[in-house]
Amino acid sequence: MSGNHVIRYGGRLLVYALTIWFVASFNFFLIRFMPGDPLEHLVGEEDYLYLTTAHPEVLAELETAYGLDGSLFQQYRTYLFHLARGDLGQSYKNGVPVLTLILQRLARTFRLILPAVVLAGALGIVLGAAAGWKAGSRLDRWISGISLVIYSIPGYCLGMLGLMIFCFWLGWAPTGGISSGGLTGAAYAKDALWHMALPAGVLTLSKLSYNIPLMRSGVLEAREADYTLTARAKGVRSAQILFCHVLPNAAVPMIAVYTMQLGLIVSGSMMLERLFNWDGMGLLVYKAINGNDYPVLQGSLLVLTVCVVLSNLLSDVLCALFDPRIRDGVWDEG
Amino acid sequence: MKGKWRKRVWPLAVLLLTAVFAGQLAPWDPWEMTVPFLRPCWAHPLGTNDVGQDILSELLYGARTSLLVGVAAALVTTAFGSFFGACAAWFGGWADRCATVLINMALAVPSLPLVIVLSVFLKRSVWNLILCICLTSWAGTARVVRARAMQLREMGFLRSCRTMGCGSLYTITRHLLPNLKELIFTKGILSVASAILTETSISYLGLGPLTSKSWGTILNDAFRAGGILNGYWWWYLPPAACISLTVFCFLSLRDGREKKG
Repeated sequence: MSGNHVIRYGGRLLVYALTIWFVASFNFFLIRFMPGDPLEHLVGEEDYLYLTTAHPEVLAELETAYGLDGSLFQQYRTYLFHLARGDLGQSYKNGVPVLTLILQRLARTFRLILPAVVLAGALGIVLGAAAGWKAGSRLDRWISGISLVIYSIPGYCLGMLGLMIFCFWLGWAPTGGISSGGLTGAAYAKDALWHMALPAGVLTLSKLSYNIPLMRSGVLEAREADYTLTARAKGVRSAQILFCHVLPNAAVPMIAVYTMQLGLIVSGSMMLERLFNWDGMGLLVYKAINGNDYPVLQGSLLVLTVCVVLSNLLSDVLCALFDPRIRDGVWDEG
Repeated sequence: MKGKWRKRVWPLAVLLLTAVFAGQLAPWDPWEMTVPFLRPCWAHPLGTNDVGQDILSELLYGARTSLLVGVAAALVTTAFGSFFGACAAWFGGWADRCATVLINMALAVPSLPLVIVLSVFLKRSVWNLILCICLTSWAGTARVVRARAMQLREMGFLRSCRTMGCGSLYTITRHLLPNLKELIFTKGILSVASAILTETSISYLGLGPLTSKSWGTILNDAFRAGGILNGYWWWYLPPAACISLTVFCFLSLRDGREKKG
């Protein structure tokens, strides 16, 4: 751990902390600087109108409960204090604490995206390496072509196609949901996998189309590099060049890509969750949009930001562990 | 290579023309209600939706919204992002450090949820949507432009500018940015594609502009009506195809440009 390291990673941690603080403040000020009474956003328009006419004293109580009394600075302090204790407010739909609601759904979303990221990661390295190593060949043209086509189709459109083919025409896949319910043990696991197959498959495909070109260009770059030329000149076998020289150089930077995907994909899988009625983060946000459940929406934004920040951190750590160039600080990854 | 470039531009030109002349091309008024759930037939080439609106006309008008949002948002983000990135690189030192922190922060905030929260609070209109997309997507361009501008900064022609006492604004707009135009153009095309994607996603979630048709809104309506399980393929396949083809055209435009440059 040299001084250089301390400055670099310290700077990053600072940026991450600032990001979270920024989003938290954004949430705070957005609701207070919108036209109208912030309570109107917090309790919903209809309830607000009802309460102002019928029970103004309840509104005053709510104002205290939401920390809306006192000066703006006092409110901000209370807000940050509550946040630090993990209190993101309550969903005004059913009064459940937002954090509980979100954490429960986040686990379900991860159940969907974790297999997808891992699968897309592994396949992306294999297919991307094949395309890059044989660049210009028929195999490369097929792989790159298909991945460009899939890349242009938004995930939810791909999901619609999948539903149409596998659910409506063939009747192989369920219409949605996480499981049929009422099952235990092996039957439950089988049922859950059956429900997961289509959404996870669609997600894998759309992430794969993103990974392949990246891996391909990494392999292409490594293939043209001086060290590969040296290895060739020494008479190293082609397979050995691929597995010992080209692949490690091309694959290690992909770690950063994958971990970042893990953070961003939560927001990426939102559309799919609505499509497949997968009761995770995405569906929570979608329902909150339709019910104007502002505390849940803002809490989700904050938690998703924390997810991205954590995955960035994970990526920093993993890169430092696996990439000797970054570990020794001789190479700035930009 | 030039011929190939032209070949890649014409689908987009067609799309632009359809968007501009949607009013003349559409066989029906997209808000006019006729017979609901019609399969494709002569009067309605792509059938009708649950309230009897002609889907082909909806698609043509939807092209207008998508292109308007895509191009307007991309223009603003690209202009602001490249100027911001170039300024950061040019001034260097603390200005650069602050700018980098700002860029990294903006990159770490997940853009889709942010756009969702913003559009829930703002009034639902095309311009607010464009504003939301601009607020969240300038950082990518800024980062790439800054990185490249850092490399150019120490080159001879920019050093001479500095020695001759040229103003910062003059040097950035006349000498630094023009040398990055290939990069900015490529990034700009990508921004159009991603802005269109964001717009359709937002509309698909039911947050689209209220007063104009959009491909995402059609998908949203179709999905809400159970379009997939009831087999209304003429309702949801065409908008999905429109979105994908448009994005594909923009992406292949970028690829053609890259190989040339």
